[in-house]
Amino acid sequence: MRANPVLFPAVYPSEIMPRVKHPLFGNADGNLLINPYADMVKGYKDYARSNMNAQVEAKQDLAFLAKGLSARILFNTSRYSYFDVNRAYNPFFYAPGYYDKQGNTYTLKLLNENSATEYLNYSEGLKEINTTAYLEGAVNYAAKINKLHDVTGLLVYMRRNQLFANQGSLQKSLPYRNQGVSGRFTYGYDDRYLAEFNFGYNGSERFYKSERYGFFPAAGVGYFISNEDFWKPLRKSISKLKFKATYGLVGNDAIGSADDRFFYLSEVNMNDVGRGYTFGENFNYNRPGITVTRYNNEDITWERAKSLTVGMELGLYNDFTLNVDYFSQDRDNILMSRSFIPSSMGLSADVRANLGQAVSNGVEIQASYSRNFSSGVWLQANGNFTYAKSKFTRYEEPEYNEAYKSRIGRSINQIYGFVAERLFVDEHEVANSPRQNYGEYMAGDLKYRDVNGDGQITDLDIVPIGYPTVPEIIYGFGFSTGYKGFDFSMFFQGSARSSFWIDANATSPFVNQNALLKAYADNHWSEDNNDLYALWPRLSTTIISNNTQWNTWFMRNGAFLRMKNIELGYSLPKKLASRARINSARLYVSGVNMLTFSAFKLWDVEMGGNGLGYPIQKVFNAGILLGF
Amino acid sequence: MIRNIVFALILAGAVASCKNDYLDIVPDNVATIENAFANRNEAEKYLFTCYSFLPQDNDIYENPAMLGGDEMWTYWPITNLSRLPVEPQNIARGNQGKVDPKLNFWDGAVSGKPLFRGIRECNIFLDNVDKVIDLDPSMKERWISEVKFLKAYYHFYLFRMYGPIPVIDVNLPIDATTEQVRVRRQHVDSVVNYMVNLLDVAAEGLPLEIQNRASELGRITKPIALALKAKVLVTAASPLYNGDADFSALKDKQNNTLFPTTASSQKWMRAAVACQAAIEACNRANIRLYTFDNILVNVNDSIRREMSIRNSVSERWNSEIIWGGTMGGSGIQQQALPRLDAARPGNEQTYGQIAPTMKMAEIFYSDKGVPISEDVTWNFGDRYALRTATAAEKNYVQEGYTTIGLHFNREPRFYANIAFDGGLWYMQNGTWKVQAKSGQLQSRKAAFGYSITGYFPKKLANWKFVIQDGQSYSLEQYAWPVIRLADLYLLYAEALNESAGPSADAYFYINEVRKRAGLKSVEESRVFLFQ
Repeated sequence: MRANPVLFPAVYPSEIMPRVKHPLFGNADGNLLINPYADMVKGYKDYARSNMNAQVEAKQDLAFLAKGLSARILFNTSRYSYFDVNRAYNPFFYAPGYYDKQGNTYTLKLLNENSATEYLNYSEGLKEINTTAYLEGAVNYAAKINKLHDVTGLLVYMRRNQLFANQGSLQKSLPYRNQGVSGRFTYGYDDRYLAEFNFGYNGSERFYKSERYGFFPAAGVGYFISNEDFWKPLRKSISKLKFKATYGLVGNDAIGSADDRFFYLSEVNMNDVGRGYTFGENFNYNRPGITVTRYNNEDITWERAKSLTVGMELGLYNDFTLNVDYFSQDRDNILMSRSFIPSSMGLSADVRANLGQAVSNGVEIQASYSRNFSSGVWLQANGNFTYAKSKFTRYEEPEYNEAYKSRIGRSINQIYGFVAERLFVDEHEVANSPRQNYGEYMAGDLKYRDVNGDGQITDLDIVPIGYPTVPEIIYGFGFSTGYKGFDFSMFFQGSARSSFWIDANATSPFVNQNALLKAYADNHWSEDNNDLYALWPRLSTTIISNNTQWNTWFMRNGAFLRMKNIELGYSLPKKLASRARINSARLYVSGVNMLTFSAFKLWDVEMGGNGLGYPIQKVFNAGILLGF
Repeated sequence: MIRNIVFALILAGAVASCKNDYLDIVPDNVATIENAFANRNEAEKYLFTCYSFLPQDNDIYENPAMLGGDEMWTYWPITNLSRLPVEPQNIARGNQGKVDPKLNFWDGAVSGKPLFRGIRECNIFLDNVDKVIDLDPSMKERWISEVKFLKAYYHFYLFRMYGPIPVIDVNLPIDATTEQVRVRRQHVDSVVNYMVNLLDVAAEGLPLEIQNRASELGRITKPIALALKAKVLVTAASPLYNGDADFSALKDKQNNTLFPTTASSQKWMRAAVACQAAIEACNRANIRLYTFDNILVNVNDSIRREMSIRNSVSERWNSEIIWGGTMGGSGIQQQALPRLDAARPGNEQTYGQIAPTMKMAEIFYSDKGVPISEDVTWNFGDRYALRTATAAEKNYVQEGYTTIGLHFNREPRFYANIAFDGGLWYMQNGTWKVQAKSGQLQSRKAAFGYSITGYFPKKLANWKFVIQDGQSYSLEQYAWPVIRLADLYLLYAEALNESAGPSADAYFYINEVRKRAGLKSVEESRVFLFQ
């Protein structure tokens, strides 16, 4: 999709230049473009990857100290390495030179005389080496006291050390380390009352001494009501009923970018060529400069999540189960850049702090049904459904006069963009509409709504648009059924309440030799077709930045329902099979991704915005399975 | 009981081991900002860091004066194959706006340098330079003076762009509160006084001339500081900052006025005094108006005069330069020079695509030294009519070549600064003909690399540029004249004239510049003006 099929041929016939030994690849005169055929045949890449692991584990039963007590210790080290090398020649690219009309012959001219080679070149690729050492010690205790009290305890200590080679900077070359103690204690009474306590006391090398360790406890209770004596009469219909709840803290040290190794240390580039200067009569006394690329902040610490889960497990008539969970998570200490610092401070890097807070909550439902009917038909069905929402409750942002600009109360995955009204009719309308500040525009380009009414289209007219990019509802359902030798199954999955955007940059026709999609060819604004609601605005050979801002024009509903799997099979009866001296035989046809229901028709909705990307496939299978 | 003790012991052991230094993996002496001032060698790098924020005036990508106005123009649209900056032309085409402003020197975005960051680096340098143990006191004084100059210059650059600006004399700490970081814009008069005071202090500690030319030429000297002070004060005295009616009502959110409400001629006097002091310092430093006196080159007088004008800009370290910029400078020569060499039309390393506009071609004087629209001898009405050059005109226009009347009977500066259809372009390796009509050598030949107006900025290319075979070329980089003596002379003449009316001194300095340009004095040329 990135090569223009009419600009040049993949290769010219070798008869034109009979004495030349290399293939005569075609290319564009002026700027060399991608010739996929040349790329395919020009060389090859070798790589080697290895992953070695060694592990020692010792277990000791400590029953002599106390019954049910045991301990183990584990040490593990692994080494991963990868390297690759490319061996390829630089193809010779040609374009037509002189054309003789009478003889209908033409000559070729070489386009890349300085770089093309007939011999193989060698270029080294990625070299990755890393090693991990992991140590874990655990004490485990499990006992049942007086047949009523279930007690377990587990205490784990771990430390991990990871080293990466070829990191490119001092701070990144230092080991990655974690260490911590965690524990889990449970108590059950008579399989009816359950209680649990967990904790983690974890340390991360990324934070300053005083902030390095975080304590993350969690506790839970459960009530198996159907195990109560008084439930006995109900047990036939409601075979299982359990309520449970947990509440606790979780820590996360993978915050910011992985390159920010140590938040408590400043990072200084002592030889920054970009900040150097040159003096001298002949302009040759040059010294690099010094730049601070990160300011130290000793207060940065773990991101923390308080999470609550309340759930119920229900079983009916031994063939239907239903699990319902409600969960809510309140994450705070989210790392964010301070936004109140003006440019006049003159800082060379962002100042960040544990500032943000976000809440997410949702419901998860799972149901299954399984039954063998007396007629010989069997049926298994199951379904699941998740509905989850998120929102920021604290966000580092300016105090906007426009309430809609605030991220507080909006989903974490909310997109902000312009409201596109329609395309501009003509120059007269362009001149008499609020000025749009996103590059030159004219008739046939997108007209945006001046939301705050200040007579200009600026960043203040950017509003939350559409659903979040991550679906709020995900569901799936399916069944398998059979009768005698036949079986049939189907599985659907779907999602809802999400939006996606046609990637106007990536699908812009003609730009970077992009192909023109038929949908755009059939439905775009032009001087002959003044369709103000055309799918694609004015065509251009360059990106029109006015039209590629986030906006509602290219917003689409991401909801879909897909038949993920369908399968029909027939198993030969045992008797028949054994006559052919085989144990089992099954014939089947199946299909993956057979049907999709979606409001979006241009390409598969799960490809997202870029219709020129690698497509999602449909797969048919037919087969025979024999077992001997 | 035993069980509990064991548990407790294991737990205690595990927790205790957490407290050791397992996670303390950072070795001592990781580079911090302290290291920058540990010794002279590192501190010199910090000094250069302070310099590195200087806006590069010879860079068409970041100097808005090159392509951001109507002096020079380019073809449109500019694409990623054009080797041209889009942003300044977007300003010129009226697309500057408050969303992502182009050439944003306030935030250091969209091709603008982060000047507030430069000021912060200067302050860090001034706060820490005393820690350098092996820095000799005289050198320390010079470095401090240079950095104070830079701090003043960054304020001045912002002041020219944004008017009232916050003065950042000391750095705020990194953990400053929301209230503290909200610095206020200051009245333009107090910004000017701040800069002038800083420049006075800086000038005290700066050398008159650079002794070590091989490695220090281009560093700040006393004449540079005094010349900048003169420029600051002339800027402050000019109408925009001196009682302009559009700005005098401007107030900040605390209701403080930011511009003077009435004009003061006192400001012009102060500027004139500063100009005079700067000129005196230049005299002492042996800075003189440049004339082309290369006796090894055998050329006629008109070319010699043309070279005196051209080379005051693009001759390397010529005698007129007060402040020469030492960064970059080959790009602008490639941008200015067209395909001059008829024998090598395939060499695409000279783009010739920054094009002086018609307005610029017309603004130069007539050969009588007055504007062409006011010259009684000059045929202004027929300036677009075709005319063929005679033998008498062959020093300026190719003999027998037909071009428009605008290109005839112009002052030497026109022929020195602008190349036009029918003109001649003297270079060290020959005199080349410029022919820019459709199909001719310097006309548009491809999608990129041509002059949209047919004019070329001749003075921006050094005369030793050679177009070679294939895609090779050789050029001589020159120090960009950020401030030169002729500039200072004109500032002085203007300040004198504005403060006390035409005086002998005012005439003297303007006529010095006219003399070098091959023009008669103001008084003598007046007779050619329409009365």
